[in-house]
Amino acid sequence: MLVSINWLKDFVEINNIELNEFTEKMTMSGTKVEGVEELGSEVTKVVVGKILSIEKHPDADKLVITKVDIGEEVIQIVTGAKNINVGDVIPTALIGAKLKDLKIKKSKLRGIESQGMMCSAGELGMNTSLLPKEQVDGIYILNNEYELGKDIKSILGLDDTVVDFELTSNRSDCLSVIGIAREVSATFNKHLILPIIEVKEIKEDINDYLKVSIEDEQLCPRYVTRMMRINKIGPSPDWMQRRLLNSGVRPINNIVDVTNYVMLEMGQPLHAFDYDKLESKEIFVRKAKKDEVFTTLDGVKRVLDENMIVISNGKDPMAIAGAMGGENSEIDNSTKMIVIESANFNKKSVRHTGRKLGLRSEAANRFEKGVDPDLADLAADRAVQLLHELGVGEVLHGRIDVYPKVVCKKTININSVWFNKFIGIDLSILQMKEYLERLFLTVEVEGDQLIIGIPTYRQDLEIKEDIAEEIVRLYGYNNIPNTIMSGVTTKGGRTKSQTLIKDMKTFLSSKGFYEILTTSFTGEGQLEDLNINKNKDFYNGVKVINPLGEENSIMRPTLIPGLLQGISHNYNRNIVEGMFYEVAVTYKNTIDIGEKLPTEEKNISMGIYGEKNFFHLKGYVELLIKKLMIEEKVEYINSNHPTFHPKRVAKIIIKGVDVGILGEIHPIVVENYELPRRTYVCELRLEELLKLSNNNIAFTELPKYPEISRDVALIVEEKVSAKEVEDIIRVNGKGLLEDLKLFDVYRGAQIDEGYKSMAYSLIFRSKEKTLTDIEINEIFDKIIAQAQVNLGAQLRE
Amino acid sequence: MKEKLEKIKVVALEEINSASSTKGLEEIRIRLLGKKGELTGVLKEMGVLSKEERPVMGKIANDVREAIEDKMVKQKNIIKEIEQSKEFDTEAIDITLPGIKEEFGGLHPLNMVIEELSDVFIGMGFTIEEGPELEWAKYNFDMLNVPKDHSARDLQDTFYVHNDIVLRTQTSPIQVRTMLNQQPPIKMLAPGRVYRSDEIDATHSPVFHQVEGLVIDEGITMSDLKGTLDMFAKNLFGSQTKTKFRPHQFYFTEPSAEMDVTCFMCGGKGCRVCQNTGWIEILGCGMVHPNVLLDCNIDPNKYTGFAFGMGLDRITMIKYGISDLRLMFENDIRFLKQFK
Ligand SMILES: [Zn+2]
Repeated sequence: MLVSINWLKDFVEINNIELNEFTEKMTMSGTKVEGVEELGSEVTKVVVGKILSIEKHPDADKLVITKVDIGEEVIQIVTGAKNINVGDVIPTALIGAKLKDLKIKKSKLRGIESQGMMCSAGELGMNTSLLPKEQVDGIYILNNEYELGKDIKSILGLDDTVVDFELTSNRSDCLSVIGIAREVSATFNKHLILPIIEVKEIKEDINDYLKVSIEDEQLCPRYVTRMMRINKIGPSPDWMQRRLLNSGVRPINNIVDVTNYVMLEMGQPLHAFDYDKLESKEIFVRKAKKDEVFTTLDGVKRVLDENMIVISNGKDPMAIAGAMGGENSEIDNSTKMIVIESANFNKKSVRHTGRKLGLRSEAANRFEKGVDPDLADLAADRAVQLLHELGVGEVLHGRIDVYPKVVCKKTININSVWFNKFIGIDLSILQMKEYLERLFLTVEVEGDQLIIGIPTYRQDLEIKEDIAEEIVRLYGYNNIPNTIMSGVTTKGGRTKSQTLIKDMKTFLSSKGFYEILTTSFTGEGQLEDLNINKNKDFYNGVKVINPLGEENSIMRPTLIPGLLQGISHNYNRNIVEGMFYEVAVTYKNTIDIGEKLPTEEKNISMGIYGEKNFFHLKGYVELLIKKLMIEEKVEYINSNHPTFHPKRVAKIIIKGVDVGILGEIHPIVVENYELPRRTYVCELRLEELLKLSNNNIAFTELPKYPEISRDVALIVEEKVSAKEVEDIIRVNGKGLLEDLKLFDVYRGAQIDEGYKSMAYSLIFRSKEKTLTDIEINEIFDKIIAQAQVNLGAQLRE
Repeated sequence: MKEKLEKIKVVALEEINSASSTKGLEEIRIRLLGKKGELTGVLKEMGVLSKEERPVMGKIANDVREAIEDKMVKQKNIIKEIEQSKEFDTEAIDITLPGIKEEFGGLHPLNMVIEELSDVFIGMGFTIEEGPELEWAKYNFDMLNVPKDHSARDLQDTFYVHNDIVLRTQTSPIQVRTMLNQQPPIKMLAPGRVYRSDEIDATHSPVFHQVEGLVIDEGITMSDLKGTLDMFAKNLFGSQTKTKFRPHQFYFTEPSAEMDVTCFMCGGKGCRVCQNTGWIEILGCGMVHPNVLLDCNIDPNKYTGFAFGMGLDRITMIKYGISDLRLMFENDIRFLKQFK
């Protein structure tokens, strides 16, 4: 929120406080300063001037020669300005003046001397975005007469500093200059000076003209009105316009400006209706009807719903509460009588209205955060007081105040001993009392107890901890000592699973894999691109109700799309090889979603492209499984997973559990994702692997008896898998086979087409005795015989 | 005979001396000392000598033999050395060629920060907790004391997958779950992924990461909160780091604060990273709101505690000077390579 320091000075004495100290201390007491702008800090030697004459330049069509009275003297200025007339009062930069982006020197324009420059709003550093176009284009013409030669900065509000406060959502009471002044007063321990509100009324009584009623006090807890007879609608005085501008509000006319001024000053949004346009003597605050259509004063037809509040004339809406007035009740130059509304509307309804209609406003912002209901009458009075003082019109006698449930002042008790123990400091009860009173809370002390009265505008104070914060923020958070927690020590650390995952990541990273981070969202398109389009339920993903686009509409049921996108990104940037992995959560729907949460499962995905192939990736998977100390047998079986090459894909099974998939990406998917022709990917169910992990390292005795090793080469048909051969060797190994290693697969000379030779090295050992050749030969012969019978294998001599 | 022996010796030593290969040396050995060797031949002739001459001659013969053998061993070593040196020459390599190696990869910078943070808090006795990302709205909002009509609950701000289930907007529901499952003392840290309906740009993403910390015990004070987080900051950013606490507001803590640390780039002098303030806003924290404790069946009259939370993506970006949040999700190897 933008606050003018000059305006703030109306309410609290801060002349002697340096700007740096001001912003630092305000931030540290809880009103955070986001930014500071010292207006006009670059502007010097610009004064009020009055144009006495304008003559044509003899040698230039586009220039004129003017005489400008700057009080003590009359100077000559040559200018190209078109919007000036004799008699205009203008900001005049003298020789040596500094403007926002330039310095004024004595100069000659086409041979004629110019002793200064007339300035535009932009050149003076005024907020041109809030000024009407006619005041931005050309020279800035002042509205009123001022003492000639007087420095322009105070007149244009350029002697001001604007502070941008970042307010937390609970401090709606600070959304006003007075609200900030209260915080300044508390922070610097300075008196708060509130405006004196006195209304001069005429005899006519508001009650003869208007009746107000509310349909639902939940939606509108309070509705106050004042009425005025209007003399003159026109621009508001410069000083008011400056304050509005410096607060980021656009000046419109005196009536609108006063309503905005009071809102900025006190925090109460106001609205003004043309009384005659009501066409009834009635205001009825009610819920809008579903699909009720209403044209707001910007000329837009709005479709309302029953969660919005409208101000009606008993029949038709005249305004939407907290949003905008209607075209049908807008004030114009012929307005004779106005109704000032100072109301309190339900936060939630106003927020709903603003969002649904796409309308944001200063008023709505305040209603949404909560306006003090006790403020409504004061603000109405303040508005008509100002309007009267500005000569806009006369105030009718009395106000209408519909306030069915008057808000009560709360009290909160806090124990001083508890407070000191809770914060970890040692304040006396009188110190606490002083801090609280500085914040305009009333305090009664009873023993250790403080009984605190809360003003209605402090809707954020509810419990003793809230009061503790009030005391301690004035005491200073940074005056609290830093201590080490006492109490029982706790044994922290990672769980077994967390440690294993950490080790796995370290392992993969040391093997050349880069860890990636991919979004949790995917979309139907991306999943279909995995070649599963024939079966949309292939992945049972969780749908997001309100996604940011189709590609973010499903919580990923697999890590593969993200991994493929990462590979594609690199491959398409001429990076010739890469190895990636990710440990992340996948999401699956449950039938009874709502009774239960969807299923979340941590997976690990790995992907490689470049020189390495299927077996490299398989090798890493095998090492990973070893690293997890999974002792159970790992089976690699054929799979028909549509994302993969049908002949180069393995489903991984351990102890009957499907723990994942490993393979080369299908050419269709390669095309869809723009991948390298050969891309190898696996996705493992990490949680299943962790369950199988047995990381209790137990030492086994070193073998006592010698081993016997034998090599065997078997010639088999191509279709015979290594697993089939190995199964036969293992089954016949009789518990004496200690290790089995495939060391060569040979095709070519001496081997018939369609056949291959598989060479294994076998190691036999017994735990009880030294084995003899005879025993081993027996086993060996059996293996060969069975391989012959079952697989048609031949021993290669 | 004696002359014969002496002659053999002289000739042999000469021959041995000029032998230049292991093979040549072996030939000499056989010719002299073998079964049919010269020396052996001479010794066979000893039979004809008298009883008195035999031991004398025997000794001379032995001396000759020893001299020859001794010379042979010496020459053998010399030859071996020469031969090995020749072999070395043929096996010479260019030691400046690159080593054969598997390149190493690396962790993602965000996860490096998570691990570093975790280690700091584990050292203070914290456990690492996890929780679901698709979370009950009740745990994400209600039990954290977020008002029923708060805009954070709106469809514009929060993703829903069911009327009662949201994509958690903060890691704080993990606090709730931990408190519901465990009686104090609790000291936990919960890093995790969170979601808010923000369009992607250089500093925003609908998917981002937070870490949450919680301590609940008897007698935990606001000064403990300050001391713990100050220590954390010194551990993570260096012992010269200073901290500053500013009042703030969160629904699940009261009093609440934001913590700034002195800029670790400029040490507080002011630079681009800290936007010339010398300070960097790092986390939000506060004393756990009694409503939150009550909702989690913890007696607020007996126990107090503090909680803190921070944005991990932002801290990672500040720590490594990463300019655009989108880089963190793009997985460009040229980006990932820089964090080892
Ligand atoms: Zn810095």
